[in-house]
Amino acid sequence: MGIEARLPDGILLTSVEKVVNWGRAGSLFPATFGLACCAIEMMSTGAAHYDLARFGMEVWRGSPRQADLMIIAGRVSQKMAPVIRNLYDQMPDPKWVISMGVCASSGGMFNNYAIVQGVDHIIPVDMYVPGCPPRPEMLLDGIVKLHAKIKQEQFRERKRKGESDEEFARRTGWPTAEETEMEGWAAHQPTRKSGESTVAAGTGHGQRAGHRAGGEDL
Amino acid sequence: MAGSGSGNPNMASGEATKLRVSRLPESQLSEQLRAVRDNLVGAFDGLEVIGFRGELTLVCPPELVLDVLQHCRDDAGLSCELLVDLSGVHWPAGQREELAEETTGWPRYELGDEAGRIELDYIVRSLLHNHVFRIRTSLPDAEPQMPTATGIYRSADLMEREVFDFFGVDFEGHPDLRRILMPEEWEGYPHRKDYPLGGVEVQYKGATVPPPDQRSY
Repeated sequence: MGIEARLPDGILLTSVEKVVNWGRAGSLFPATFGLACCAIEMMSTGAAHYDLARFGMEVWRGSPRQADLMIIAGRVSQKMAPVIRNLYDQMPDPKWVISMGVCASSGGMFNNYAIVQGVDHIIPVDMYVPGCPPRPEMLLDGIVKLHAKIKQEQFRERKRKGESDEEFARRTGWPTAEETEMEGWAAHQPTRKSGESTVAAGTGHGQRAGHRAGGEDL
Repeated sequence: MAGSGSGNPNMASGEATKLRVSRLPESQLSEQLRAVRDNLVGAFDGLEVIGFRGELTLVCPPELVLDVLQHCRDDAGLSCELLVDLSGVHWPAGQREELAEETTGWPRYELGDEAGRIELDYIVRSLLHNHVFRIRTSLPDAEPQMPTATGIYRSADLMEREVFDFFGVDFEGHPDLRRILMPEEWEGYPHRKDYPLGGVEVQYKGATVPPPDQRSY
């Protein structure tokens, strides 16, 4: 994650991380992908009653270059898939993705040739919000949980307790764990509860068996 | 849109259809539509007339379609300014059941064609006279070809692209015939009856549900 991940580690960075994460979470600009019916619920989430402005998110950026959150709201057709990938690639880091509704999460009720069975076939997703469509309160719950996830991000990736080298490499993309292994001080750090992509609202039974999300945190 | 044009399974023009066409009462047509029918039947021969539930459908061979459409647009008594829709239906080869007694109450009726057909419905409407009716034609489904109607009605442009996308009908003379809803490099024609529905197996709470076209229920 950029130059700040390569800085020498130290206690000072912890509060810098906190400030930066607070800044990022406090003002996420959505680049919204209102594709289908979920767009209506997304619009009403941004409207007066379920206000998104109180989260700093009322300004939807038309250009992906200026956005850091992509809310895929609606079913993704085969024809739209390369467009989504293109726009996701155009977003600068750090970026997060919310897959809103069951069609974006898993293909929804459309189990056929024309609909991509889950947008995580195309882009990595940080938060799945189920529902058809999810109520504005559910989408807000997903957004708030995403804020919590952002606020616990760290500049420097550390191996989690019990994590093996390969798992670490797969999770973070960092080549080896020795670079990040730190004696003493790191061992005293509390294990942060940052996870793979999580399900926000709903039953919490969550992820489809055998199909984990793309999983990169940024 | 693409799909069953009239929604009536009785209406297919193919080899074995004389019996069914004559069963469909023309008396359900209004005065206005009867005048339309007389006009067209007088101008062209080879047209079959269906008047099911007050809707006029004229079935004609593919060679005549453009002439009929031209006549519909230019004749003062018909004056059909609009091509409302151009849709297709695929009737595959082989035996099929047309009327199931359990669901429709009509006696069971089986139909079979040796060759599959793709039926095209051109729905034309007159704003001046306020009538709307249908021109139906039927193409063999092996290499369906049809001259384009864009010279007569400009709205046929996108509609023919859609029929090409989903049924594979090649419209000769079309300015830009390419897929419109599926990605351009897609193979296959999805709305044909022999095209699989696709989809994936779904796993949920330890159980698996097969894709829709492989389910037994």
